[in-house]
Amino acid sequence: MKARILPLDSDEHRIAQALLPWFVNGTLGAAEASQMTSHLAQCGRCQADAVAQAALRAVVVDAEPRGNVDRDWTSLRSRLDADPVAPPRRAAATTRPWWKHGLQLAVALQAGVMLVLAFALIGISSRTEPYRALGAVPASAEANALAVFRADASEKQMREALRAASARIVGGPTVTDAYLLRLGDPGPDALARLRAQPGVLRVESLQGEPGR
Amino acid sequence: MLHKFPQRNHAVPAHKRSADASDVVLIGRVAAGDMRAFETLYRTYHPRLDRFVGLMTSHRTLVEEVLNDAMLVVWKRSDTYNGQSKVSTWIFAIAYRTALKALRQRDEPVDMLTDELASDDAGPEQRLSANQTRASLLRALDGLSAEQRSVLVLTYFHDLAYAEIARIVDCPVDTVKTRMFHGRRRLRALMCEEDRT
Repeated sequence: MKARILPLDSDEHRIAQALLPWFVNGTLGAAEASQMTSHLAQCGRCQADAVAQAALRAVVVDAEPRGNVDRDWTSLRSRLDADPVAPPRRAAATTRPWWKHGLQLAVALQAGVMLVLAFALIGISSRTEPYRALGAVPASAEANALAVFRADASEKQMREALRAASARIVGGPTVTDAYLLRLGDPGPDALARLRAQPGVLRVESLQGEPGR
Repeated sequence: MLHKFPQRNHAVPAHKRSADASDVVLIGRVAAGDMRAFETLYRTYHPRLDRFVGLMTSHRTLVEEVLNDAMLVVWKRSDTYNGQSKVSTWIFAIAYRTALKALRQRDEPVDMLTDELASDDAGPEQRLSANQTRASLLRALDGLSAEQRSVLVLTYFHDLAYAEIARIVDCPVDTVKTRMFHGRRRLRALMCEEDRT
């Protein structure tokens, strides 16, 4: 079909030129797409323009992204681990009705009273050694390293890794699945030994590591 | 003969609907602090954001920085996603604002992607030609304002509708069309200059 010559300043041509990129990417609504099809059938200039835009689009769309998702993800995880107060505010907490907060408070108060009574009874019945929970950690056991284990690491691998570096877990898992560790000697050798363990994904010193 | 262009089926395709729905589920889990959900979301969006930011700036270190800064905002602010737009629109809007901020703060020399490879399916001559066109296009895109560039990139290389782009860049639809019009004209002029040199 021979293209009809339309004046380039016509409203129809101007509208078509404005919509052409979205005709090329196929996102126009039915009415606009039909309007464009009719216009293109008559306008050689818009036809050529559309073909040129489609060709330009193809050279980029066909190219692979250049980034490395694993490397970038590891980098972001390190930032999140270094800033453990970063997790989002819980959406549920902001939408919970007031009466649920009230109920929660009442239950907490009740539990508190029961706990006080239980301690009072223990104090009366045995005035010997002060109560110490099995998991209680001495105040001196502050974390000096942080470790992330592989998702498929077995419990045995975790234990062996901790033994290799004379480390023990004093906290975690954090929201990023990191564990806070206390190493007897948090020097570079112990950190390197820990990193070399098969079940370990990442280890960071919390006291700063020279040369890293 | 009239060239055939893709035209959208106005009923949203099932795979697209399910992707949107799974994005909503993921963002809900991210808002609850689920790191595994965040990793899944990150890996889903990384290639798209990499392409978007990579066309906003060709400086690779800046691309990685902007991409991760944007996803960090997604992690921290996921509880503010209110479902009024698609999750993808919300994430691209964050990436757009992060990229604009970074581009305005930094004024570093740009290394061009002349070593880019085209699809391996193409023959060597086609690859060379596609690489040259791509390199020329990327240089020309750098000559546009960030606002014009983002509209062109989201249209041509992410196949977004003008209404969705307007939501991402937070401006009226007519402004999107105007930026596209002037951006295309400038891009054409810059690419013609490239051809002459």
